[in-house]
Amino acid sequence: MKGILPFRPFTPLRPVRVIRICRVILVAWLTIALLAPLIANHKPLYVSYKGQSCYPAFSSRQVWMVGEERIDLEHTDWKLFSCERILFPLVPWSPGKPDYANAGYVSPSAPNVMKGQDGRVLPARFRHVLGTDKLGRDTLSGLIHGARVSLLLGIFSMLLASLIGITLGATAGYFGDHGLRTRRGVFLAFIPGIVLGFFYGFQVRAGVLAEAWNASGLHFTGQLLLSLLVCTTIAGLFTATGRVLARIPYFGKPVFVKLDSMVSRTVEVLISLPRLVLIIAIAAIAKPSYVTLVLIIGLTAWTDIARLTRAEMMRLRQMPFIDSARAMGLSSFRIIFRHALPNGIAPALVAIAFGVSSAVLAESALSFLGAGVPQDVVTWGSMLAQGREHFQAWWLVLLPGAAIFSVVVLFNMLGEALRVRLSGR
Amino acid sequence: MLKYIARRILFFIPALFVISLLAFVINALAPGDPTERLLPEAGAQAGAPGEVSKQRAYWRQKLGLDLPVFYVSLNTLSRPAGFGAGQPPYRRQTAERLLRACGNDEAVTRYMNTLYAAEQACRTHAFPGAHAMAQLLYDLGHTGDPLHASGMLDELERLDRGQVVYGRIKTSFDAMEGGATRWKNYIPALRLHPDNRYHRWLFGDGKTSRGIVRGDFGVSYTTREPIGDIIGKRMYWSVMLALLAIALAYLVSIPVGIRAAVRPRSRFDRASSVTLFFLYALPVFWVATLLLMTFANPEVLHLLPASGVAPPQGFPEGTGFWGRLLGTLPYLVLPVVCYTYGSLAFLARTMRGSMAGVLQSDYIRTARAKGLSENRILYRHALRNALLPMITMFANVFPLAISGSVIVETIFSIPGMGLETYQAILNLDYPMISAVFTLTGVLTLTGYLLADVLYAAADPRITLKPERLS
Amino acid sequence: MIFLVAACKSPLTRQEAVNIPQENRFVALPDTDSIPADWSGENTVVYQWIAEPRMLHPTNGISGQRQEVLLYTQMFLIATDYRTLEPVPGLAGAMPDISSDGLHITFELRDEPRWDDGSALSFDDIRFTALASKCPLVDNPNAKPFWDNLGELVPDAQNPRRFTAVMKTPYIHNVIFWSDWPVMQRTFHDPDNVLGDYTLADFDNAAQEIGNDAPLAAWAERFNSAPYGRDPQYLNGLGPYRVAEWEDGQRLVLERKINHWTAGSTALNEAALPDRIVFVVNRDANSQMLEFRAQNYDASTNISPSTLLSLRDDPAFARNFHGEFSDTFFYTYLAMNNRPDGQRRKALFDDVNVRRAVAMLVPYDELHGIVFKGINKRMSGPVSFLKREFNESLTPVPTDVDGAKKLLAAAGWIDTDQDGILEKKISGKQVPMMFELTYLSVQTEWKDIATIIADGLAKAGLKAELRALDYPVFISNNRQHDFDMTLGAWGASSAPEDFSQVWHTSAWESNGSNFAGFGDVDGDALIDSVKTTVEDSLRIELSKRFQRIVYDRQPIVFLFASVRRNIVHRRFGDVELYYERPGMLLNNFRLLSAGVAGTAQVSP
Repeated sequence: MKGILPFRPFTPLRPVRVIRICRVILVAWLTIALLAPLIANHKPLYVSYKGQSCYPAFSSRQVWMVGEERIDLEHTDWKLFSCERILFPLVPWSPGKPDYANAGYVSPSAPNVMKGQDGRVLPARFRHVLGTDKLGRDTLSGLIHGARVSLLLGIFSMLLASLIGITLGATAGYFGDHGLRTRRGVFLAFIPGIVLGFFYGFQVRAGVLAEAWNASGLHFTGQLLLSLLVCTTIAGLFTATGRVLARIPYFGKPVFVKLDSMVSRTVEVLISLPRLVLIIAIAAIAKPSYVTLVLIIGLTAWTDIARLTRAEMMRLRQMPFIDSARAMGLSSFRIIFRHALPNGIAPALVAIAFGVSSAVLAESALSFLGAGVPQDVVTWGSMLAQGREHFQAWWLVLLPGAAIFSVVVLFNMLGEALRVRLSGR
Repeated sequence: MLKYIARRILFFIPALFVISLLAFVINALAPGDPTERLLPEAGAQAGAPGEVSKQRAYWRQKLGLDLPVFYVSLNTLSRPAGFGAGQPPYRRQTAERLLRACGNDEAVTRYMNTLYAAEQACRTHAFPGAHAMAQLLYDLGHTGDPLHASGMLDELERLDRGQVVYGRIKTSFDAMEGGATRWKNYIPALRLHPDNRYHRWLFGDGKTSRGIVRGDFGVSYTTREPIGDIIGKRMYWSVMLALLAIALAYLVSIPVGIRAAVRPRSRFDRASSVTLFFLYALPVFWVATLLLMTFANPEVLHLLPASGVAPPQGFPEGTGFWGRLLGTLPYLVLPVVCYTYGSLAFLARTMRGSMAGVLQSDYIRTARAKGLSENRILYRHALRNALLPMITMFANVFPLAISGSVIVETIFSIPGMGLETYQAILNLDYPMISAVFTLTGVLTLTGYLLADVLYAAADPRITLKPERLS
Repeated sequence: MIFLVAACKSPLTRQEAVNIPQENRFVALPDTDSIPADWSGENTVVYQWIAEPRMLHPTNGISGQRQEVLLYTQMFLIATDYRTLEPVPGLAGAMPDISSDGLHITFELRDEPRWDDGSALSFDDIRFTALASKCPLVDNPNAKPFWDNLGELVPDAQNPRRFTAVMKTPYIHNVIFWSDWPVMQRTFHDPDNVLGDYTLADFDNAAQEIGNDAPLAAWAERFNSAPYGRDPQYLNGLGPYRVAEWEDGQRLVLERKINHWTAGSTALNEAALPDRIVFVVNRDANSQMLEFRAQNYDASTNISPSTLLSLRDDPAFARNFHGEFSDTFFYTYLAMNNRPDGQRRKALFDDVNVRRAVAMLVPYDELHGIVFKGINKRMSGPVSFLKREFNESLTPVPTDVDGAKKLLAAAGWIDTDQDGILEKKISGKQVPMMFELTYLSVQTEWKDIATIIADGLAKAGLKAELRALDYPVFISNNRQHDFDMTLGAWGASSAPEDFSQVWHTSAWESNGSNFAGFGDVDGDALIDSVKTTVEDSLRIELSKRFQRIVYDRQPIVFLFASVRRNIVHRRFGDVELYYERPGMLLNNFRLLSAGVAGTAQVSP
């Protein structure tokens, strides 16, 4: 049947099989991403020493007291630690910890210098399977932990983007410019309401917000939400007053809220801001953190989703089943979100899938430029940037590139297959 | 139709206004002092300190950095427009914090000024305990919490035996804390500022600039060159690369898309799809370096030059216009490929999808039934309609001409806009950044307008009349 | 540059200083014997740099690249002999006479110098240079401090080529500063002699209202405008080369002037052996390597150490190029905030023992081996070991993790909650030893250094969070003392060390270069003595004493001296590598691969 395009697109593989393969690979990457600290860590999963046991990889503590002995969980050379039993993760190296004995771009096939911190020989099990970088950090470990950063970044930023994009797009598309009516009184009351709401939510709280910004990305998000709450409460109060005001005949006149125009114009304005430039500019101001990055990418990526959803909505609202729903007296919002949207979400899903892959690529570009991302975290982008300097280190160039490629292709094919599947239904 | 275009163009102007305002505000409110770039570098040769703050004040005044940002400002009653202007950022922050605690701006300003004057006096006049007092006064100047400050004032009283400094400071502190009007922090006040930075940016400051409305983008903070000139020089290369990239992209994606659509599910279709996806997923800086080390490497394949847009010494004397143009082309091959490969996937698939859809439609079936040759059908009837979405894509690519790509330009040493913009951001060159944002916005809006108009003009089925819900 | 003056009653003459053998001051590269056929015979030096100067204005602008170019296109009253690192006469005929109080410095100009239009250099030009530099309306805030000490310029009534510079206070750089600022032609830059109505004192005491003087404002507007910094037609100077072409972002071409007054001279600053010098911009390390391999570039000091090392190992490269490391006066350091405000930045490093512990935790061997590839040498104090006044008794602080832990414990930092991070009770609150380590985001070397240092600090319970910053924010934060720990580099020169810019307390109070907050009244007094003691052996004594004080107080951790990476094509001979920047003087490169050494004229 018809999708958003007036024709039937093709895919090389059957969509169902593609989705199944994609799902498997996606689950695999997500598992790696979530379990990364347990798959690749220089701390062992389990150690039994002098009768006491400990789980260093799971523990956030740094010190373990065994009788009088004080064992530093982070800095002890576990690989040469003599104890009863010890169980290492699959990859016994942490991504950010330099191994100076093997510094200077050791290739996967080259012999490693198998020495512990005090010079004793290490068993062969502990070699760097995929080589090291300039400071001796393990490549495989970096790949595993990099998955975590990239995937979580991509997924969370697109979640934010879809939340905003779908809501705005659907309402703008459904109501258009003449669908949403309100009373003049309400409208007139709303404007000072939102202005004052902004004032009390953000200007008066500017100090608190500034302190939270300096503290951490999470703090800031919390305070931001609080500010939004204040803002909406005040706007709501004014709107309620406006409703009361609407009893007066002059203020009771119905007016149209030009929702579609407002949203479309906002989208146009936002699109013209170059995203990479914006991120770099903000990185110069604020402490780079992934929360900030998620916020920025999410807040700039919702435009595509909104436009697609809006287009779908405009098509769907003319359909008979929507007419009958309206005739049945269902509220507009219920119609949009329960009946119309499920049918029109296909192109948005495609855009979301592409969005995740573009977020991953954006992160790698930022790591290359050295702007906007925290510096002590090893990501695929930072590994690529290192590999670019020393081109002979092919494992730093090829492997992270392959990883990025696999995730990007994965999400793109997922998106394509979803589109075909959903529009073909 | 004309009405639609007219309405959209009418909207152009406020949209432009909003974009320029956004660009301007982002830069104006960003912390980081552009005057830092102008002042003596750390690591420069020896010189007398103390000159530094005088110079900084002069430059802030000259560049108008302490004026209010916009015509109107909505702020709390306690905070007037120029509050904290002219002071180093740290003192401004302390002043803000004190204001939030006490709410009376004049008293706060007077207190801060008294502190500063006293600190300077302690530093320039040597009397016993001057140094310690100066240090304490400096710390006081960084304390935004009145409670904490009063504790430090007691310490000051102890140090200042002669009560010379302490008395004045205590009076102003008491005036500030005692006369606290905290309620002012919760009352909104709308203020008007005829002379503000945005106005200067738009209309010039009467002395050095003529304002954007007269086409004067202002002068770069770093080189004092008119920004129009800088952009003009750099845009030349960005536009050339962008046009070549677009041309290449279309040249490749249209035939590939057509072939894939005509023969669906064939090996070509599958192979091209996978290859194009593969290309899309490769990060630009990686591909750029790979191409560089392969095709410009004397030890591998020395087919193309490694950097720049001309030989290191420039073209020989007497090379004509065409000579230069042709001579530049080898330098542009690798950068253009880097710009292009990413969009091939998207364009080819759009072409294929659109073509496949057109090939299924009724009128094509009619033409086939009429007995027209496949080729004729393809190129005379189907192609024209299938190209429509591609035309609208073209309009989206406009902004690339001005934003360029800092990555490609860095790797290949191309003197384009991308690198210039990046440098401007790092140097906090506000006029430059605002100009680039505004231009990007203009181009994007134009692109979208063109896209919508072209599409509507080409496809009569699309109506642009506003729909009414019954 | 060692300034040799005896501060005694007799009029001043040059005094022999401590003898340092000639060969320590520069490296002379051997000339090639055989010339392969594939070498170019062109008498042009193509020099690569990673960024071009924003402008070549004689007094406005700050970039190091600008200084490099001005060496060839401009002339200075006093020049530097890069071989001996001593000042030598430039446009002045001989080293100046200095009065006994050190305040009256008398120069005599040479007869030969001619501007491009044929007119002779005169006192008028010197006076204009000083006035223009001091004028408050001129956009040269970085230059003003250097001219501050000049009070007056008095021409000699009898001899128009003689004049006396009257300085305000005795200062060790009173003569040397003339070697940094080119002499500008008055008739070119100020044909209407607008500045003639003013004196140096006027500009010293100028108020804000001076901007209202219309002719002066108009002149300043024109003088500051872009063409005077960028347009080859307006880049006027006394040097042997002129700017022939400047393609924005691509290349800058210098051509030897025809019939220049320096023709035939072999002085380092006056020689003009290459016909052309071309500066090209190339920012990418891989691209640079490829271009050098293809022999498109001739020389550079702007490649990374790893690029140079990998090129040196390549026999094909070694056949065509010299690749050498040379010492510089620059060094890298790790600064700690000695005087935090206690609120924004916690009082972590105000105790000298804590700072010494930090110095003992830095993994110097790893830095030396991995980042600096075994090439750079350790710095032990604020003065480069290349200088005569270097205090040899100062030894670099070694890595000693256990010793550091003991010092920290003694200073009251203990890990009370077993989380691996030290804490201390300050003003009743438990403060953890967690802080930001900031560095410049331009080069990856900084990130590697920061990572290694952070790793070393973590072993003793100090948790550093890395943060890369762009230059304006980086420098602004450091000046405002809004940092905990920061990585930086200091660019010293061969001139006598003036400690006031970095170590004087006023440099901290006025938000100058004393980021760490070092200093007290006694230190300041010693700095002032060093600054004004013109007698060399006395000054060196005081300087050594001051270095010891800095060493003991450990305000910053001195890391490594920087090395310069030099590449020069072997087709040039007489190549010398100097300690002082720019490291190589391109105008002295003699072409070996042509029949006759280049005295051919370049057609205009």
